[in-house]
Amino acid sequence: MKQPAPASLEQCALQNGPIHRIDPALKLLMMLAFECCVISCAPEQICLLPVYLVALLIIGTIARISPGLFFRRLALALPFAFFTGIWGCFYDHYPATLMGFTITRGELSFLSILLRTALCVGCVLIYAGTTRISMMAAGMRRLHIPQEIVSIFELMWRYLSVLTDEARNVRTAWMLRNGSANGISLKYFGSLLGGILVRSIDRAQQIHTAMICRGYPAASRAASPSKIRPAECIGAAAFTASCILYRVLA
Amino acid sequence: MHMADALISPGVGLAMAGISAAAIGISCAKLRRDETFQEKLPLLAMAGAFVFAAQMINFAIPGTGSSGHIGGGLLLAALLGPWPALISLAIVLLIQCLLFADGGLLALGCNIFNMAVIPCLCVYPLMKRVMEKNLLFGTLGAALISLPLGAFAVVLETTLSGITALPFAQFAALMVPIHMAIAIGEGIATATVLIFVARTRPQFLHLACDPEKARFNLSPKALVATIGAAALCIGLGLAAFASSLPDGLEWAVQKLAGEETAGATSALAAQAQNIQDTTALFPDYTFTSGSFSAAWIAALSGLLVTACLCYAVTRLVTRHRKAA
Repeated sequence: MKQPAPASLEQCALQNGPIHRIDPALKLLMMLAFECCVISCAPEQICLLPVYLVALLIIGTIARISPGLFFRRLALALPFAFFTGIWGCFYDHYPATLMGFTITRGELSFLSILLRTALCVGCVLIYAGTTRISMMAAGMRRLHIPQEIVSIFELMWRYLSVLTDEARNVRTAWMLRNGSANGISLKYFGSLLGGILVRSIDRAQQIHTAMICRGYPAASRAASPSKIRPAECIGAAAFTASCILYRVLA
Repeated sequence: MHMADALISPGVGLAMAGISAAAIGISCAKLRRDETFQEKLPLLAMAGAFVFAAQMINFAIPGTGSSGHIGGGLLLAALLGPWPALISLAIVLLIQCLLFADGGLLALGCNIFNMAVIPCLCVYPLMKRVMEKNLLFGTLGAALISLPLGAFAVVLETTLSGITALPFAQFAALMVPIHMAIAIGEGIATATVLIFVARTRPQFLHLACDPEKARFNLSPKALVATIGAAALCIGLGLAAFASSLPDGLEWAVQKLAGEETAGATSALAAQAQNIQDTTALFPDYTFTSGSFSAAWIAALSGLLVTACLCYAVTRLVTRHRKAA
């Protein structure tokens, strides 16, 4: 039976695949190395970038991230890069060559900024689409990121849905009280927003107490992944080395 | 204000990551010594989630590769205290970076510095007393300092990386005023929420506020007058700054970035420059170059035009709403 396509990256992360099984800490380090290589490419070295793009697309395919979801999320990030790069086309008219064509240096840097942004954002999307939140937290612990930070990271993610629920409740209450009124006037804005905050904090404290009753910090630490396998280490080292070698030698 | 990876050089990214990591390290050490940390944990995480949701509302600012949205640093600092607020906001930025690809991983250090270190560690301790005395004006003032400062840091970091072709002065002129406008919105929104919390749950606040005195005692007219006065002061201050400093700063940044100015200009650019020269009331903000009073007049008239435009737009929008 064919499974329905995942609707969010979070659902993608729940699947099981070769990239999903890589240790989250190693994955984070590999991602950093990849991004450093991509970002250090000057506009004149734009010819190096397509190889990284192909590598990223292959990894994305192996990771079974739904292409529609991937490109939609990528498209959300590109306007920022577009608006940055486009100024170069107006200001920098120094001639440059790209694959035998003569274009301006501004256009070259525009293309380079677009490609580099797509590569970096794509890389993060693959990480988010192959790593569960609990695994991300475990990876952070393995990298010796302070326990305080990891706890807040996990709790904040847990609380986002609580906050949304409380906001929905307050909104429903407001609509019922005000029937036809459109929008919220400034006079009540503060108390509604403050109300959501205070209610959510109360709820957060209840949830936290309940979590502690079920052995929260210790139980979550026990669930962290097993030791890193040697094969994973070798694979990650090979990936990082090939990224850097290609960047340095090509 | 989130910066993407492609907009900074690895050097700038790593240097800023070092600075931010040091600040977070100190903050963690302070939290570890705090015996009430476990009790504070839900407050820290939920306040962060609240700011996370507030930052979802954002828009792209043309030319800067950065987004405009509420910062939230002041709200967190007033609720949690400066050091825990820094951690909470840093984690908000980390989640946005890892799960939503909003702001790059290498640029995370820059983003934490601009949006968390500046408001929580630099501006909040400075303005704490004022905020305790008058929550509304104090918060508005603090927002008006911290957001433009953060925007200015974005400009410095991008220019130091040598990525954008936009000249330093134009870049700053684009980023800082937009963030000043956002700061007014953020200041009022933050103040209304803080006032509500101060009156209903003063124990949640780090600020020592008198619940009786905390109220939004400002009529719409007084509010407009306050904002106008604030904008005037800042505009005049900036005018003084703009007329004296940027040339030197621009030069220094260019030297650091090792960037040479572009040689040839095309016909299209010349034409664009022509159009801009004829439409601009005060090209380059000066009548005679370097004149200080001219910069003031230019800034004042700019403010006036902006105010008129804002008024017209609001009238148009409210009329539509009434009609609907």
